[in-house]
Amino acid sequence: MNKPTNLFQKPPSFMTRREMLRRCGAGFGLVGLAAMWGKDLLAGESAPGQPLAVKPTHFPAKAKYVIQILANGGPSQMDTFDPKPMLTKYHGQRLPLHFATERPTGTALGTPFTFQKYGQCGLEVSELFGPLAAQHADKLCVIRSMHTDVPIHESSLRMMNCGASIMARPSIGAWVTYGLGTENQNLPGFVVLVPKGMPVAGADNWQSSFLPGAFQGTYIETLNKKPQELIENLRNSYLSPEEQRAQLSFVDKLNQRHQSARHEAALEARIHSFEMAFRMQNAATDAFDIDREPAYIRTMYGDTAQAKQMLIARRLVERGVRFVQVWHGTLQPWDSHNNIANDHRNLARDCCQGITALLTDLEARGLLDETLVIWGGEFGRTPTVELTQDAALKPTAGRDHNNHGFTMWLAGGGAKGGVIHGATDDFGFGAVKDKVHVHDLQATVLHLLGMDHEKLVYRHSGRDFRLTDVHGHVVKELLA
Amino acid sequence: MQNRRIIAGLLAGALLATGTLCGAEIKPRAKGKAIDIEVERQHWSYQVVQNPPPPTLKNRRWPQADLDRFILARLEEERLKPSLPAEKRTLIRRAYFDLIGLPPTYQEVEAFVADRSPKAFAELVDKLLARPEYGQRWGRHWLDVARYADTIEQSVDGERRIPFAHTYRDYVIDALNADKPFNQFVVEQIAADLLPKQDKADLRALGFLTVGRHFRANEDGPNLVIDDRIDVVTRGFLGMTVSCARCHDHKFDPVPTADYYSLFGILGSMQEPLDLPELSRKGDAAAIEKYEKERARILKEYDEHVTACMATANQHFRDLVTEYLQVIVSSSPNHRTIEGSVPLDTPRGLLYYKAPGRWEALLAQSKQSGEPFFKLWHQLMDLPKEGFAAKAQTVLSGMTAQPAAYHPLIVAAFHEQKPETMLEVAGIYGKVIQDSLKTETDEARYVTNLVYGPSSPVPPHDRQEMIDDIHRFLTEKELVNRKDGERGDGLRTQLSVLEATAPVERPMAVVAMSQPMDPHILIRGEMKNVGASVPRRFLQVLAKVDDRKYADDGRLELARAIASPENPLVARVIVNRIWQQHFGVGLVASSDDFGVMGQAPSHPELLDHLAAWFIEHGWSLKALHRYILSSATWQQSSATDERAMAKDPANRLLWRMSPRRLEFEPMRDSLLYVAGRLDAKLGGRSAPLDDNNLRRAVYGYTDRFRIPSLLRNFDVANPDTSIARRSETTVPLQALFLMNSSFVRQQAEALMKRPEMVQANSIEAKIAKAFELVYSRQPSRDELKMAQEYLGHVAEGEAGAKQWASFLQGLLISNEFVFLD
Repeated sequence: MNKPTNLFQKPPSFMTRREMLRRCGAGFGLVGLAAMWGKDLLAGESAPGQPLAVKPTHFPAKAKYVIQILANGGPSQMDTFDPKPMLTKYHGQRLPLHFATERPTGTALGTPFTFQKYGQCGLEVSELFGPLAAQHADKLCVIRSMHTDVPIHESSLRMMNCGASIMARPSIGAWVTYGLGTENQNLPGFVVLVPKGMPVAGADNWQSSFLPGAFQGTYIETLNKKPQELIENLRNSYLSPEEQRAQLSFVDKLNQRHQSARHEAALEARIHSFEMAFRMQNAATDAFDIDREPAYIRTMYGDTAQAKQMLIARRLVERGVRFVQVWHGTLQPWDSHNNIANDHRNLARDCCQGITALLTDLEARGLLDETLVIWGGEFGRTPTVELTQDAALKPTAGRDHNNHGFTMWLAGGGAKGGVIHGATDDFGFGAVKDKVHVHDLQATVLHLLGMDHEKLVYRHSGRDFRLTDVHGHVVKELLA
Repeated sequence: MQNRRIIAGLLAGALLATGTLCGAEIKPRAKGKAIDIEVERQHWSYQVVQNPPPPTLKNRRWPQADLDRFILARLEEERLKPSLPAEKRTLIRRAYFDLIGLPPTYQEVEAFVADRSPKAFAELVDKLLARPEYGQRWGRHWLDVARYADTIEQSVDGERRIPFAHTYRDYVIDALNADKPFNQFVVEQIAADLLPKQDKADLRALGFLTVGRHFRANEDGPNLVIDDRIDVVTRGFLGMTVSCARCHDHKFDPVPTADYYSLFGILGSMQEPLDLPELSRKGDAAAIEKYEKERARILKEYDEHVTACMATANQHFRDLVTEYLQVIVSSSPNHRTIEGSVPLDTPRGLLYYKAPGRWEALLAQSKQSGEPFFKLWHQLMDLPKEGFAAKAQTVLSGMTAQPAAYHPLIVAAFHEQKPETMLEVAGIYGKVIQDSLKTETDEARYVTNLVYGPSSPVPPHDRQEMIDDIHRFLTEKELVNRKDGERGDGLRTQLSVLEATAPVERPMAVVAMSQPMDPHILIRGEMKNVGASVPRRFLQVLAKVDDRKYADDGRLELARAIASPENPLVARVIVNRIWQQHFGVGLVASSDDFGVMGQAPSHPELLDHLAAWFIEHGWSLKALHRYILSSATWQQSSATDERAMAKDPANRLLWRMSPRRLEFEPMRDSLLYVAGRLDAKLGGRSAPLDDNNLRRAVYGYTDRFRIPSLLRNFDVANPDTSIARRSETTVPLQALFLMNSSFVRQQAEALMKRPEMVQANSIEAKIAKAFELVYSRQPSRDELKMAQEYLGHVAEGEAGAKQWASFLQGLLISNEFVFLD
């Protein structure tokens, strides 16, 4: 490895645009290190100092990338993707069934929204996501029988993102990049987009926990920031690119001289990391700069904070970023305890166009087949109306958290389109048919990415840990 | 596993395959088979520490310390040779970073090189161990184990600060600097408050138990806090993963679930008081007075709030008797009125979430004792819903026929009654109980005593029970409504906010509960699934150390058992942790798991030798550092050797010194130090590691909710759980920090302005000075040329300054600055 590194290596001209976007990071350094390591790597194994290098799957994958759209706070299934005419009939009366949730709830609250059938599959969707369904109903794989353990935001977000409601465990994005590495070494492998602030449970949602820090999600606030400001220290405000290039060439000379007497892989890896960082400065700025999109694309996505994030997500995946989390917002925006008719309408208005455009755009670019899009919250909401908790016990016109049953959907990435899987009871309170626990969904996501959720393990604290703990079954019915 | 694979790397392929490094045989217990402690105790780490004689060797000249003979014996076995001794320049740099986490100055290096005395190195080590920076460097290692952070992970109102977390950090640093015997260090961190002879400052040690996550947003929160303590105590001191036995017997190690709950009883029998003792105060009198007034106000309001909640709860349970009894009826298997769970909103108010459980406990108690008041209730509850009215009449006739077996108030109340449903029965019972409260007869007193008296599980009995409930998670509350809970939380937050900037220091002390917890196994770890009672005692696999059942809370006994010289684990675990920091990898690579699934020691006899040596030398960590650093093993060169590399690329046999990279903290500290800006002050509150923070990184503010990505990018330990060994990754985000951050640039500019640099009056002299300041050496001729080429014709003024800064930054971010030979 005495070959001088080349900071300015151009990718060969025969590469396609996408190949080029992804590959330009992997120079000779990477190949050299892998060769130096001299062994075949399995999912989860890394060459020294190269935790993010691409690793093979356990079996052929359907999906290569994931965009996880988090409607954090818990969207209501009865008001979106799980119509319940019986609930409307019972409106204002006690239901014959009741489940304890976080707060007291009273009588039935029928949906204020109208539902319509879409697509060949006849998927019924409320007006909130009508435009999405109108274009993509037959691509959606709707799971109406999701359930999770507790009706508490923090716990359920940890369950959804880390597979454990209590302890801090690695996030699914960390597990996936640990298992597969990432294709573009000029960008982080796991990116977390939040308009501003932190969702409930904070960094727990994208942490690498006991996995190496390299797999931690890179948290990015997207609102009102220039592309080069999104990643910390991405830009040098002291030197021009030429000056920096000269400086790094000098550092490289120092390092080569130092290394030549030592031949340590770790030294070589660090030399290489400067090359990558140098290229990342441009690559990342470019990746996050949605102004480089043509006007018709920007118009298609719309002008909201959500739309901007969806477009960034597409640009990232296009460049080979493995896992993108897209959060609706800080704390728990979908948490409509009060006035759900108004709040849910506004929330859906913020994101529906962007999500619709994302699916359209991914498909147009041939990316939808290999990109798994996941939509949902950490849980759903009660069909019963929440009660205030003072002596009056008045209804609030909103719904409480509901872990017993809720809806999520998948699209692309090997998920079967036009499918409605499972069902809740007549009122939407609890999942009753073909129940899918969050661990089952996680097992299925890993399966689509070519990994066996029981084999993707990491030894910590005396035992092998995995995303799905000791649970989870791949839901075959969801696979295309 | 992967970080071990990355680092310990090719070991598996090269050595294990040939069987030359034998691991303990892993024989997972057959599925479903119970733990046989006697058999499983045979695992190597539970055996008494031996003090094996150092082996005899062919090469008698190489060893400098007894420990070298164990290393050399293994090398000779493998026909490998140890490396040559490192050069003095390498040695001093290695010693500085190992012991104090900062580089030697050029002058220090030169003086050491010039010192021909055979004692020069030993004296250097003594000097470094005596510096306060030693405690700062090694304190950080222990803080990884202790999962130290300055905040809890999350709170509803956003106030996350643990106001006195830093007092624990300071305790650790002080203890290390004072070379507090390790066994004492152990005992204090578990039970400083219970020691017969106490130094108030040692109460700070208890932060070890209280500086973890608080799990407030969890139904199971209080149990998880105890679980966290069990984990940090057992993994931290014993290399045992006892928390794996929370839900079932440990799958691999001889730790039955009963042992987990024995420790649960010990580590759960303490409280974290709101009103912490005072250690010291600082600041002007007016500020202190204002603080104290405010503090007294909050504590008083809190106290009054607890009193008010007690009264409210008592009244609530008197007002809503019928409603509670009706909930029990509606959710019973025989009389269920709704699918799922019964709503808690009633026309007369909202019931407390988990309070029905207290009434169920009362009824269960009554059923078991066979007392007469609820006798009829139990009989009627047992009837099916179908045809209830008729069957109830039969029971009631039975009661009329034999009234003596029933309570007279019940006999009277049900006289001529024809209840159609069990809900009606609940109504009658409720009325009897409420009427009794207004009546002064023996019969009525019997009822009120039964339902509200000191042995009834219904009302709150002591303030602590109420305090616990006020802060319990919303859906778990039994004694307060949401509003009163929030008010209590709010007052606690007010106090936290005040204490977070208080002019006084307080230890994060705990106090033993007046009545220790009587632990029960929770089946599958579930709160509601209570199994057999277990004694408070030490782990059974270590029963030879202490097999008593503790009459009191047992925390001091536990601490002493852990710190006992008879304990086969505690000394082995700590000497291994120290070894790991000196060599990159421990003799046992899994330094927090000495169990069956952990890795076997590469040099089992050496591990025992070190453990015995350590105990013999008064559990002195400084003595152990001296011993290790005096060895030929530690003093080897790190140069590679093709043959040895092929055989043992991971260097498990220590045929050379493994080259190491500085972790984030010593790297940042060294940047500041070389720039002449490091503030090496000891102690005090943490502050974020921003550009203006010139203190050592161990004093950086760690927020569990918002861990700075910079720290995680550089593999700084995640503070949520005890970390035995950091991962070591190389990613471009690290390089971006070094290339582009204002922090690094500022250090380069400060370095440029150091008088030594300014005074150097030629380009050549400046370059040479830069090498002295950054690398503690002179540049070679070609390095000088390289630097001159880069600098070219340095301009005057601003442009020249910029170029010099870029040059210096280049030196600071180069490999030589962060790698140790």
